Amino acid sequence: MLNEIKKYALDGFINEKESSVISPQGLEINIRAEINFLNIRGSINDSDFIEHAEAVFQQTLPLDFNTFSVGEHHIYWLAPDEWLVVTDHDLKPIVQKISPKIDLYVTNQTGGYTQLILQGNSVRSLLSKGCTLDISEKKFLIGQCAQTGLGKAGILLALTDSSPTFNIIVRRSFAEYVGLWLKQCGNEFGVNFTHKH
Amino acid sequence: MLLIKCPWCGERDETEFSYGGEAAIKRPLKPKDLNDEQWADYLFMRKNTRGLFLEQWNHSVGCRQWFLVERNTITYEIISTKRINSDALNSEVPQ
Amino acid sequence: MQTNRLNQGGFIDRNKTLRFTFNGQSYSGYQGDTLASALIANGIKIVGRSFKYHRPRGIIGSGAEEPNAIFQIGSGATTEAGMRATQIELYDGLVAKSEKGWPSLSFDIAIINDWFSKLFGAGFYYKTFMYPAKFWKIYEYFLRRMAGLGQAPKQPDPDHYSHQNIHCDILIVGAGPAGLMAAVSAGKSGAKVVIADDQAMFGGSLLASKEIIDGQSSEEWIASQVECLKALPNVTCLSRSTVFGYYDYNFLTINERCTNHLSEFTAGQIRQKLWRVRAKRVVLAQGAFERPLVFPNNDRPGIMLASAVSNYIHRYGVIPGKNAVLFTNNDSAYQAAIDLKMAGAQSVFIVDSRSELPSDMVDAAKKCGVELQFDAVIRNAIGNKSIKAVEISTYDANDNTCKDIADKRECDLLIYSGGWSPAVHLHSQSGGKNKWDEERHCFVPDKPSQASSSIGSCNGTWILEDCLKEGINCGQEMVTNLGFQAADINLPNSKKIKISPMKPLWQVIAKDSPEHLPKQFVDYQNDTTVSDIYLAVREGYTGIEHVKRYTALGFGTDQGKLGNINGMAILGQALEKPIAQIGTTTFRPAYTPVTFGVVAGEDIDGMFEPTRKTAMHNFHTDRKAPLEIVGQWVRPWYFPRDNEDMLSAVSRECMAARSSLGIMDASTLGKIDVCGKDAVSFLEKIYTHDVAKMSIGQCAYGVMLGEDGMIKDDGVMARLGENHFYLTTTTGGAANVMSWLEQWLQTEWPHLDVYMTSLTDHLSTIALVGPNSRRVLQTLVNTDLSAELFPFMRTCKSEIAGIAIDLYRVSFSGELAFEINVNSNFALHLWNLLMKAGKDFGITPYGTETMHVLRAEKGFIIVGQDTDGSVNPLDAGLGWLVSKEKDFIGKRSLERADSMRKDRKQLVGLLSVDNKSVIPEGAQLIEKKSTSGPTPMYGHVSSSYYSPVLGYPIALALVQSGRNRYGDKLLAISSDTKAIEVSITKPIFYDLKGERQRVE
Repeated sequence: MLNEIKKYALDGFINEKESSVISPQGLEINIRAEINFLNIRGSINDSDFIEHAEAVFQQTLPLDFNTFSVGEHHIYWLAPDEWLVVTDHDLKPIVQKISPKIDLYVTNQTGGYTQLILQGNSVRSLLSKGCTLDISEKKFLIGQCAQTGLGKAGILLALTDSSPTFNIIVRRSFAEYVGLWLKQCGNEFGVNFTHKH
Repeated sequence: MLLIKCPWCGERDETEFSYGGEAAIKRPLKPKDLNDEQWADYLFMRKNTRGLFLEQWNHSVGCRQWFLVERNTITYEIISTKRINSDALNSEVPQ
Repeated sequence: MQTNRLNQGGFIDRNKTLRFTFNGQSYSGYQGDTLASALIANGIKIVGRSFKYHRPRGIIGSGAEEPNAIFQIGSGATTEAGMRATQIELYDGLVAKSEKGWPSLSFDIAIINDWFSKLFGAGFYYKTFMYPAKFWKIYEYFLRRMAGLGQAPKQPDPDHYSHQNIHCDILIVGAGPAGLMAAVSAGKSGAKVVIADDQAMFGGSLLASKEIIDGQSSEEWIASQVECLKALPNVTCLSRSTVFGYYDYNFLTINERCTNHLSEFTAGQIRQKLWRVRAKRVVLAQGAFERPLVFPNNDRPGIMLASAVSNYIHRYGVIPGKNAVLFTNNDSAYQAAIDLKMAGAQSVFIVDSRSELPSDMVDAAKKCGVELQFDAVIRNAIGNKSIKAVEISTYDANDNTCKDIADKRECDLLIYSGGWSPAVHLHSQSGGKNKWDEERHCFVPDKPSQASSSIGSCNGTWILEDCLKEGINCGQEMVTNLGFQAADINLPNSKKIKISPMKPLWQVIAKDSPEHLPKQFVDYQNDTTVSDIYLAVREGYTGIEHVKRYTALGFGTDQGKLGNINGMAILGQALEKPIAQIGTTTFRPAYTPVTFGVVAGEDIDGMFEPTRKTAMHNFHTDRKAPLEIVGQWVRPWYFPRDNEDMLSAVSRECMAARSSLGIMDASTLGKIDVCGKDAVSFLEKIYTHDVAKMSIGQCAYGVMLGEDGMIKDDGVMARLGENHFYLTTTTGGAANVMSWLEQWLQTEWPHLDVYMTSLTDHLSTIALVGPNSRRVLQTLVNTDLSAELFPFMRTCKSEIAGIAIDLYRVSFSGELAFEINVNSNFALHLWNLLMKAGKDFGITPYGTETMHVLRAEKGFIIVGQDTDGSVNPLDAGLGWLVSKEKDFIGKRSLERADSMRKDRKQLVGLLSVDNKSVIPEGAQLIEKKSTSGPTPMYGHVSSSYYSPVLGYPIALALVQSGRNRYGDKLLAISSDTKAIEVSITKPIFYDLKGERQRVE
């Protein structure tokens, strides 16, 4: 019931009349707002924290900078003491497993982020129009993520497969800007936006 | 346009960072014990070094970590960057 | 009629005729022409008027160095100013106009500047138009018009521009012989290579040459190299791409012109691209500029650089003249004489300032029928609108003197060459110094200051074989350094020739021009003459940077490409110093002009600045609320009903909140979650109040100070648990405060166990405000909201229709009010539920304006409006918030003598004495009685509104010793209205005891 009343940052962004057939050079951008986000904080010097976090999430906590782990969830490294869990699972039962005795702190961020999934041959060309990071094949590998800028907004960028598929996670209030940026700058390649429910 | 090596995220464009001024200005442990002149010295006086300079930068678009940069203010050459925790100047524990 | 067009040769397609207009006249050229080559083909001699003296000028060069043929291209919204005809590829329908020449090119009224030129020496404008100062605007109007610097379009640019970031191992600038070889040798190793050239075709100087390389014509050889590069997937070839800036850490910018050369292109196609390159290594192979020679009237139309003549013949099949005189001090210029003769010129006569020495070039010239005279110079060029004749003198190179006029020779083209200057621009931009080379008589790049190398003629290497060798070596060395296996490349075969060395000839008449001598131009674009340089020296300017500014030598879009070296050498002569001691001026980006369009790229219109919208944004726009930008956020200003104006809407909204129920979107507040074992001790240092004493569930209004004791930010904060807090910041301050908090935590107290996480986007905040807020909210929540269980300044968790919420009983209006935090995904739904629940109580959405009025009635400050970085909490009347016991950031500063001054500006209220004038914000406050001398200013108005609930205007102000002046009357003055008499009051106007927000 609650799902029907939710409103996401890019609801209404896709104008059905505009959606076009894309060329082989073009790309597909899938808006995935309807997932849950949870921020984890804790100290990597605290082995109890790491052990507990991995037990709670049933997944490796990526300790290598700028990487993410894939399992039931995607867990992204954000900072030496900060991670972002992106998941289809309900957060409540997970959060309930956290022991108050361990210094593991979480904040729900589900209303605060939107995820865009970019696929197609021109993704790298499009992103490098507004991203100063070297995202060429040899430099930005599958499993790597980075917080960086796209145009004038901050994003979390991750490469998930070699097709290539890039995930962009953006703050809710910057999602519209990033959507418009991708639409405008992607014009030369052809972009098709879709919603995945 | 500088290329700054964040001690965590690696080399990134200058646009991802913000500047925090001179590093290693230790906040007095007991400010109230300082006379006006000593307090003003801590508050306002900066070296404005010509040459090798230790300064603070923040990877504000990235991992939000503050770190130290040793930079030549004449040539803009960055000699090294390091994490604050590893720096003795800043890790003294106040009482 | 293309009278100067050859029947064959050149990279042009004679079957594709292109029409264009120049100054309203129609002409035709061919596909492959530049505008300059087409103009020369059509016999056009005068292409512009000079900057200061308005002398007629012709085309001198064939590339970026051209100082005269600078045009306005196109019309309307796409018109572009300052375009060099030598760099514009001709397209059908091109419209070009000279920028200078008013009313027309052949009759320019300002030519009188030339007749009276003795008055117009260097510094003339500085000296003459100084007085009276207020006349400058009138002078300026005429000066700008006469100077003729082109026109910017008045309409918005309809074209598309874009940016592209690229990282590479090696960026090669220039695709001449050296650059091409470097690209091939680096590219074959597998390194990621970008090679950029500003021309439409790769090849550089080889495009205008008949050299045989590896048994191929230069044309075939270039084609094979380009083919090799294009087959390598790791090599990016960019033509029509000018590398215009070389910045720190091998960051370079390239301007690629994608559609400028096309007459038609599809809508949406990108016109120009800005490449932002980060390269591990940079190869500079931009080539060299030929130098003019300096002699009287050396600016007559029909005078051209030798290399340009070869270019026009070989690349465009255009012959610039039939009876030519060539004046040189070096062998390379002989090629132009040979090329002219081979192209069918009737006569070519070489005047060489050197004595004859054995040389293959001299022999070749002689062989094809060129006449020669050694030990001679040209000492005057005759012909006003085009060159008609030259005066030739014998010359003694040993004592640098030129004898009397020996001969006069008619001609329709005067070619000159004073040797070559390496294009050291990018090397200099990168921070590298240049050194004077005594053998080659030019500045060459000294040690690079970044990871770069100069090769080929931009390194002072003139011989083709040496250029090719440098290219190969440089490419191999760089890739090896980068860890690649260098590919084996054979040095291509090219002809070795014997040449006789160049001998400098900086000015034919080696002293200041005597009064009767015509002008000798050094810098054509800026009309700088030999006399100007001598005048500058006489007036005491001896450093090259000073002389540059006094005479404009090397200024503007030219950046000294043609005139700099001659100018420095002449300055050296005037100062009797060697040129090596004169030094060079600073070269700055852009190497050639760049349009604003490409700099802006796609960051225009709506994309210029991100706008952040709250989850309730659609509600606001559905209600047609005018919007206000706060920070990057878009917020509703007020919600007009029907045709309400702002004042009525705000009055209605204020009254609703004061009498029944208002609702406001407060989501833009910065929200920070703070947790960790040391959260309390950290926040104790951040806030002025006693955080440790707060109970769980308690809220507090807190201010943060800078270490200087001034208010930095404020907001409500709450203790959610033993080690768990929730902070709010101002809308505009959110990011800065977060970063500032992290700076203290990470750099000063890294041992503290504290974690801060932004909740600004995740949580939306809805404020429910007014005496009926509790009653309405109670219908939706199970939590008991009674004053006993949920008093003022408390927080708790609750639920509305299954949606989890955090409730805060806080107030920014002075009314009974609740702030509700909710996951942003549910915010709009919850907002609508509240609207529905409050319907019977006339629930009224209000915007930022009503919020401001309500808080001002209560004297609540807005940081940044009622404070400005010089206001401490005592000034703002917040002394009650400042803990006496604990230390916090800024505390010690509050005890400085200046913070204790009795006459500091303090926050007060103001009422207008007439009870109806709204005092303008920003108005200055002065005494009513007039005083002699400067009027003392006591402070200014920081917030001012009409208060609907009170029925009269109110204001907040910062006034010297304000709290001791309650009841005093002052005058508020501003430029907007006449002076308003005001009286000083306490900074609170409504519900003085604060009973309404605490209501039981």
